[in-house]
Amino acid sequence: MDEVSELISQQLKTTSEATNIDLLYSRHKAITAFFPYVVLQEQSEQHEVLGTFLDTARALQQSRFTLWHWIEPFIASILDIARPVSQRQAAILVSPHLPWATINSNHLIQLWVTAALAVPYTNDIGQGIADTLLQVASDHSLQQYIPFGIWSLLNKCPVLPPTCAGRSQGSMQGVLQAVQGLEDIDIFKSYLCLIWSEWDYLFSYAGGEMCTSIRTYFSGIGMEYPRKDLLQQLDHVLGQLDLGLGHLKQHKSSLDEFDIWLMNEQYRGLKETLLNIDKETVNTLTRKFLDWLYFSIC
Amino acid sequence: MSRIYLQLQVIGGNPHTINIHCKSIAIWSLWSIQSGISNNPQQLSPTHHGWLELWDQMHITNPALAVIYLNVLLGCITVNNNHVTVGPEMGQAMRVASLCLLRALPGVDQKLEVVNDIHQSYIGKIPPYANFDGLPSYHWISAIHALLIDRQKRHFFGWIDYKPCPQEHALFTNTLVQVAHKARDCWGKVPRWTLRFVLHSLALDPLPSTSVIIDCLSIIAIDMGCDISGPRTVTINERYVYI
Repeated sequence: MDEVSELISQQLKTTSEATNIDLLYSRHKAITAFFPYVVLQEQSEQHEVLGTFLDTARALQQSRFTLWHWIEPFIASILDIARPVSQRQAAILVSPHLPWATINSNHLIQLWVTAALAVPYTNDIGQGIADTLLQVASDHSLQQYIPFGIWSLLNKCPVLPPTCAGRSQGSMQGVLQAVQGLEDIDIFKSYLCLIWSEWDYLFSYAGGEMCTSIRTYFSGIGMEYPRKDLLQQLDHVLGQLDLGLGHLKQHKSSLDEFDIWLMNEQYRGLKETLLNIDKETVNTLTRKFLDWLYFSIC
Repeated sequence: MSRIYLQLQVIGGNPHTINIHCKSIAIWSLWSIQSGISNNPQQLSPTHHGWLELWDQMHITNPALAVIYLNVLLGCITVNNNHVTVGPEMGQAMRVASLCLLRALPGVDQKLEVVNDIHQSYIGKIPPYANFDGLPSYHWISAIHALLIDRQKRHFFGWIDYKPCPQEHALFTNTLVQVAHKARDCWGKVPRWTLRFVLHSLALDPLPSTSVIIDCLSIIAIDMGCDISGPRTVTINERYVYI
């Protein structure tokens, strides 16, 4: 059994380095069928197999492929609260690679939410939760199943990998509105810091939706610190974009010149908005101070 | 029983004698597997281990057996408006014939004329959109159907309710390894219904036997282009000793 498993693991490694889309697609069913065995190995504390499997799943995602939808019943079964923590953790880690756009199963999402809140938080788990959360939230009909507790995990500042479906889908207008609807400034800031990245442009930037939101929520006195964090994130993103396409392509091969141009436009626009808010706040403060001084003297 | 087995061992070594004796081999294998499934569901006897090896060797060289199994299978069933039913008291015979046929089919060389005979006989009796619901060997015959009819021209079949006894599960999975090998040789890919079966089997709680897990992994490896022939593959005896 170990010999065959070793052979498959080697093939997974080869597949994760492959750039041939046909090869990746032709293997995604077999890769998916291997996952229950990966969970079995994880339970025996052989963590390397899961690592290799996740690398392969990311390679699939880079070519916009997910795992085979037939995995859903198995994922649902291991997300159950009665299952060992290692199984639920494996399910959370693999959850960003499920075809959420076609699953549309309320039951599965509810199981996922329960498991995500129950398993011990680590950086990898946080990444898996954030990636999946943004994908699920991009479907308006499923937003009702995402409780506040899951959104608040974004405050732990998870970091998403260069290729990830959650980040791009999470920047859609519907998700932006859902996060605003929570009326929690910390979650909103964490959400923006998560989706603002040198790896993806923003869907909700068009039409000024995002700039308007920033103006609405981060204007005024008392919002200096959240604004400072947001500006810091934008400076980081713009700094990375300045390194050029060649540098970024090493980590995300699908990027092209247009992406870089668009991201530069968007993130510079956002920075300008935040700097304008800062200026307006200083002006308001100065005006208020002068008013106070005038009335004090008079 | 052991005398028949020894006799068949002698026959098994020679393809020409198999041709002469194929009818008796077919009858014997049908009987043998029937008694193996019905009388001894937990364990195969040492004779069965040897029999499986012998049987596999014979099928490589003898497609005529597949025709006989198919005829037995078709004789057990009737078709009415796409709905396939099994004749009275023919359930077990159909089950065994399905297993034997499924095990024999991957060994048949696609270039032989007999392949056309098998297809014609099958299509002549069973329509593409045949409905096998309620049959005692629904999954077995569905698998045969999937091998003989194009995917676009038949109903989908699932594995969710497939919960066989350990022995049957092991036999079936081992048979699908051969199907996977054959499919990869012919089409470069393992059929997706086979991979769905693997996913279903590996996801079972409690887990299936070690032999089933090994065979499931083998199917995955075959689809991923691994070379698992030769010394890497465990022998039939090793597989079945775990049952």
